[in-house]
Amino acid sequence: MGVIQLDHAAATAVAIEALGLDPQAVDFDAPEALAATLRRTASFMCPTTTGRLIRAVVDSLAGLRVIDADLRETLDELVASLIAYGDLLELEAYAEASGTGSRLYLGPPAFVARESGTVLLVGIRPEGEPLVSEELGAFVSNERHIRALPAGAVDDPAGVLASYGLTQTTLEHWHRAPAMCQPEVLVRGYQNRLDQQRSSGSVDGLTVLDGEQDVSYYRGRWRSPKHRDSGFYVARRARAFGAPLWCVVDLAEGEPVRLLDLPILQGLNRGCDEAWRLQAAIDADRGAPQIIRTDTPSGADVSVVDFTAPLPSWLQRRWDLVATPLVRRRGALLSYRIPTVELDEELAFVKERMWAAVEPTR
Amino acid sequence: MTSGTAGADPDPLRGFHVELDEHFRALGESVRSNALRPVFALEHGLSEQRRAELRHAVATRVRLGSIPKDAWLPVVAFAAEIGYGYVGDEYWDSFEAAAPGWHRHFDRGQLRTWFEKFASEYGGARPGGAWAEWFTIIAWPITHAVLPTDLQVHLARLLYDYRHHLTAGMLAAPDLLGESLAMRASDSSSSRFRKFTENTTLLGQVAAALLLGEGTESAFLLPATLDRVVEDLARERQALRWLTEAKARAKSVRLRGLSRSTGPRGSTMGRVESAGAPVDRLSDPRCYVRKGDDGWSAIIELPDLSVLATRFQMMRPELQRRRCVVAGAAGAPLARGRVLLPGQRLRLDRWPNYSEALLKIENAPAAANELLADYCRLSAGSLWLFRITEPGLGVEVRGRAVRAGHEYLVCSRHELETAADWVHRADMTTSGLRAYSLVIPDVIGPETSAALGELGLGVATDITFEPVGLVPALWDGEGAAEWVIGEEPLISITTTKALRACFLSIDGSSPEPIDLLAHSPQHQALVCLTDLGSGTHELHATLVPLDEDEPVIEGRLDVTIRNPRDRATSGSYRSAFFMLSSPAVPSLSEIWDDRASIEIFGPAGIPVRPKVTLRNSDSVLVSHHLPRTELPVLAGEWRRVFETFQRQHEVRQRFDDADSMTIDIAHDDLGCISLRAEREFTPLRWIIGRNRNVPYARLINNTAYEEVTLHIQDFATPGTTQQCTINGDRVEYPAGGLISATAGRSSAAGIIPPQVDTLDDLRRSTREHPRVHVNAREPSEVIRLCRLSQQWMTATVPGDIIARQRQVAVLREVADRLSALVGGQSWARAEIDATRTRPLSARRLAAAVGNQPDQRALAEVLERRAADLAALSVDKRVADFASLCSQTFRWLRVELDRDWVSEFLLRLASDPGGLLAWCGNDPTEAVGLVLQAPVLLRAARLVVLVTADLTAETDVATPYRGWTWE
Repeated sequence: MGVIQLDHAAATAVAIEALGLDPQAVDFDAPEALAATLRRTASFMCPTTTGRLIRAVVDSLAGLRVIDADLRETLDELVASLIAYGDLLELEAYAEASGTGSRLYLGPPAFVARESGTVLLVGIRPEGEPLVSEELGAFVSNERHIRALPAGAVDDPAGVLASYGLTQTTLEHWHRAPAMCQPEVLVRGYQNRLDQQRSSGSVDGLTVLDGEQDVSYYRGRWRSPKHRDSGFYVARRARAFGAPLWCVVDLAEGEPVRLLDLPILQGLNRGCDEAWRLQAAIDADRGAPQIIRTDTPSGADVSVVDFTAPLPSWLQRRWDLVATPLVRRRGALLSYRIPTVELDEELAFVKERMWAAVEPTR
Repeated sequence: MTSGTAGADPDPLRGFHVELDEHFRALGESVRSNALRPVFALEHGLSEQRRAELRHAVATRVRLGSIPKDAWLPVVAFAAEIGYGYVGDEYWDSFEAAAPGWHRHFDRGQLRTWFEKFASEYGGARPGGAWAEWFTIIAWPITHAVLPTDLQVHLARLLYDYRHHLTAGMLAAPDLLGESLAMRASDSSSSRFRKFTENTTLLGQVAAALLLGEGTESAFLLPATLDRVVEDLARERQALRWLTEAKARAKSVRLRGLSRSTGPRGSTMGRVESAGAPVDRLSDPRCYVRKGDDGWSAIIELPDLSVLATRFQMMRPELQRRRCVVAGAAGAPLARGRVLLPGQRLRLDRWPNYSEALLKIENAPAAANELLADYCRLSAGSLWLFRITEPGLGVEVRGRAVRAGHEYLVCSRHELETAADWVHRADMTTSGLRAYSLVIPDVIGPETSAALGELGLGVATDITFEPVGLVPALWDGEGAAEWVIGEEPLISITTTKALRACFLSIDGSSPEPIDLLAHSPQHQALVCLTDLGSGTHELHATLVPLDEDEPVIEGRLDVTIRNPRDRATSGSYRSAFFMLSSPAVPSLSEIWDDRASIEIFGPAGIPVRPKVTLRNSDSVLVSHHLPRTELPVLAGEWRRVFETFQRQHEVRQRFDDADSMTIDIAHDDLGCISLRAEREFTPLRWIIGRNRNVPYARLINNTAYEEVTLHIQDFATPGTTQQCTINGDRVEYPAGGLISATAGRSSAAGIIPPQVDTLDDLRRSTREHPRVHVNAREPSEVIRLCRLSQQWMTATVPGDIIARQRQVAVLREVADRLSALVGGQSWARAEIDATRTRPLSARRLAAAVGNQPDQRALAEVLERRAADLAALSVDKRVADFASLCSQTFRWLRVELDRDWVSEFLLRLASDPGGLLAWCGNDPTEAVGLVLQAPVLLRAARLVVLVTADLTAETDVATPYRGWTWE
């Protein structure tokens, strides 16, 4: 055993290699390396909070790359993607000593086979243990948060992956999405539930999603309640510890009257997934549907799609399966590259379930 | 060897003998120079076709009842083949099936004689390890089978799990490899595999052959034999993958070992080699503080105590099979084996005293608890420093040094006095500690430094160590970090001082200069720590400032390298759900008989449907989903849903043929978890079955003794034994009862259900009340009755409801007789009177507890509180009972631990069969106390009987409802 001094490039290469990636191809600016670092860190820290996970990764990168707001934002988006994709599960803490509130847990090792033969790898093993061996890992491609085994890389991929203890997730389950409904029906359902709640009194640290603001600038829609605010809002409320809770709130002149914490659906649904879909319904109901921008150069066989609002996990999973996530483009929260032949069907699905409007990129 | 000369001889067996003699003699000669390399009978080199011919030749001669004196060698090879292929635990049955007539014509000892001859003539392997002492004959053919097929998957998994620990030294020394692997194997679900690994020499040789053998001449096994093992192993894809990865690792370790001698790996920028052995702190717990609504609470995170179990073999059974008390943690002790689950976080309601061990294994030998106290302890002293790493969470800084601008929480046993305005009292919910919040000023001047010194804290030196690149498994933010073995920690070392020189050393090696100036303006150096073994290593830095007047700066980082955790298929607490069993590695019988508990944890309210499968070798006998239940599934709920499985007719019929059980839980979002339990591999075992509705008991005898002493006890007269004989390999006994077999030092008992052909038979059987004969009121008689109860309780019970009911009736009768023996005739009458009424008359019992004023007072309070006690969990009931009896204990001057005595009394009163296993130590002193002060047992019986009367649960495995002991 011993100590070897390294320069920054060599140290970065050692760390990237330890993550199972090619140091010739990526460094710690690449989202693939950051996603791998998040996964590895989660394997030791879960159950944990998003904040603590990101803080640990940021601390570990000091000295190997620039630490700035962009890094934190990228990590935040990547954690959201890892949750939606299934590498991480966001659940209420179920052991007292882990604290209260939502915690990140490791998603179970699994795989989903695309019709093309490509297989998506999902989940994280504890203790930094890779999902597959180094030998098979050499075939795995990384695109942002997605790990995929290309078609034809191995014979009988389902059998091989099963031998690694990965369970197959069916396309049916992967595609599981809420049933279609009219936006006003969805909004009314939540309003009815909210009406049944008792008076909430004042609520600490309440922020609301302003339905009047530009739907294509998601972050700019969040603010504190104002005196003129009355009616039904998607909101978040602070807790003493942990991330704020998602909720819907009935305001009267800026003061909360009733409050309903999300999620209200049974099972492992996340509050944010319900909130985002509900806001999409609210926006559509008031005639200002959320915007999806598409960029299809003439004759190109791939298109780029920019989402300006966050996607519920069931929708992101669907896009992860058919499209390739990109580093988000200007004005977008999420960007995907999708084969043009798939574009119409997938956009139709988003329009059906999220009532979104599609427009070409300006 | 593909052709032979057997065909030329009229007796093919002689031909085989000649052929094998020639082969083994040559093999023995070729390996003679390698003292570590024995010859195995499986290395006969026969092709598949020739093996079939050999089997036929041996079977023919066995049937005739004669093996020529000069033709014993084929039988040895044949026996090794049986050992290689048989599954389950019935070696002799497999042998008899392949060579009918063996039992009739031959003595078991003859086989051992031939194997001993093989060992001395050809340098053959000799069985070793503890199991060879118990299985004195079959240990020979099984050893010579090298690696029986059904154990191959277990060895592949073990090699895979252990791959990161492999060293070049181990690969060159199979004994060392075997010893290391054996220590890790004791968690295997297969009892046969655990026993196989006790022969560490064989284990090491087989493992080395598998790891290093492919493509090269193995030093430890004939290539053809090795190929055969690998080929068989490859039939299971996962096993082949495990082996492939373990081999890849072994190859790289070996290459690295070879290259090491040619110079340091990697960079030429400088290398510091370690000198000393690592300091071991792997088994110390981690400490945190977490803020809640009422203030801060101390949290401990359990360490990986398997390192203790590995180092001290005597610790493993104690940790696996006993409960563990965590000092200061509220609630029941940790369930059996639960302490071996590292990473569990427990909130301390009370901070342990100076003299108190943090962990104490219940009823374990003193030596085990002393070891645990020595190796698992909180940081010494009366003050603990926690760095606040995020709002509401602090991590202990063991070095007790603070940095400017950081926030801390100090917890102290004593009041701290300070005038510093950056120290504020904080609320603490853990009693025994006072908490203070510290916000260290941005600049630590002399005044601040002095104030810190008065508090018992230091100031961190002007050198910072930080892990970079790979987030470590644990990092206290200051001076201690933890990685998993196989990882190479990357560390950043920084200082703001202008330096003349910087030196690094690891584990006390001589300091080597590193360049802290060249690579960044912040005076940062990045170092990679390579090839660190398991344990805690000290990375020490010495900085020499440019200014000669400034003192040298010293800094230290504790780098802990530990084993990976959470390999279990039953899930991990880091995942969305997981399954725990108590004891940690339960056997099939323990789960079936409710002597092991199962719990499933996960997000509350999520529905799950466990699937239970019984298997015999690879065949599924029966598989059913249990009723849907919701997470978390605690022990009581598990028992309820599992009973629905046990009650199914098909399950009861097939259970006795099963040699393993798996519990699988699959959830679309949470994943899959699984727990496997196998039958214990014992020298003697009963299988209970039915032949045309006639119950029988079949004996599996793997001992060296063909003569077995058999006794039977009727259900009507437990404790009264009569000899019986075995007909072939089974005993039929229509009346039913407990049958026990003894052969040498081994014994086993099973319960034969009564034969029930008609409704009258059923009525008669259920009405018949067992009667136990009781002798004089002596401690030895109490212990005899406990042993009798234990014998009935631990006997193999078939999946037959009547057998279970009769067993419970016997257990209850023994408990009643024991109560009458200790409590006296008046008390016995009171029990009879009280239980005649519905509901049971607690008043009648209370009236008989005792006549002294203090005894009456105790009886009154117990009568008043009995219903409340019945509603509590067993652990809480014990605690409350101890509290209610405290006055009586004082009057009686009870010197034993009062909580312990309370549990002893309630166990004796409710479950005497389980008492002796729980006690561990000699119970004579406690029994003496009970006989001297019968009021204690009467009080305990009052609580037991009232609780049983008020409890609705339907478990039939315990004599009294509501008294399922952990």
